Amino acid sequence: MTYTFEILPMNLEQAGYISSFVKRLLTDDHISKMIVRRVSIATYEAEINVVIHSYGGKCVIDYNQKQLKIVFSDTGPGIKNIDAAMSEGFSTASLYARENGFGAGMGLPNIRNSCDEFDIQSSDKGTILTIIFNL
Amino acid sequence: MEVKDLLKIAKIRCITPEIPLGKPIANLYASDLLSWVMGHVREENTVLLTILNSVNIIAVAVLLDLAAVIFCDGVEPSEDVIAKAKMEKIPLFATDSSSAQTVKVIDRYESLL
Repeated sequence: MTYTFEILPMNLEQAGYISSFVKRLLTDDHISKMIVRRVSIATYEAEINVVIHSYGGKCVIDYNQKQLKIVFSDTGPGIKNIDAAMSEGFSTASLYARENGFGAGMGLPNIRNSCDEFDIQSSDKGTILTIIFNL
Repeated sequence: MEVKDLLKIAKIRCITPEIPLGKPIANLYASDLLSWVMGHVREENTVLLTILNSVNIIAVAVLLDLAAVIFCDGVEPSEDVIAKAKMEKIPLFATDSSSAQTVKVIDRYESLL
């Protein structure tokens, strides 16, 4: 099954919608709690990243019995220094995002630590994050 | 200790009495940074102590299967936060004490059980 979601920039109210959907999807299929937890964490962090850092984007979920593949893509402005962004504690989050509890600099590290496969590509045209979970 | 036992602690008040309080409390965790919560809360049924008054705290509570959220230092959750908590059935509490003091009070109460 494939599911596609649009993600609006700076819409923190909506953030959590996709991760809640995926959590419900996996829970209904009796996937182990530990996997559901890892998927929830990674999906939420990725969703938040698109909301607070990008001009907007989308999320495409490919789900089958063996694997869950989630691709987040946005339309920019891109990550200037991916190595820095991958290190714990580094953040470029805005004051607005920080006031809402984000900006700990743990987003990408949390995602990488939660999934089985991780790939991120970024330019000023946008960022594509691919995360895969073995089920 | 269960979430409903928090009602017996004088310094902590329940904001959402209509939400069932039957979950066990597996652990306590205090933080105001959501990604820190996401990365560090390991057990379901953890109670989160925070000053972060944002609907995103409820999203995190749902994803991590938190048992309850306690707003500390006199922070009162907004109507939006309370509405979302009711929708998702996440019990909310509030206290005028700091998160550190609240952990001590809960710990002391639990040792008496």
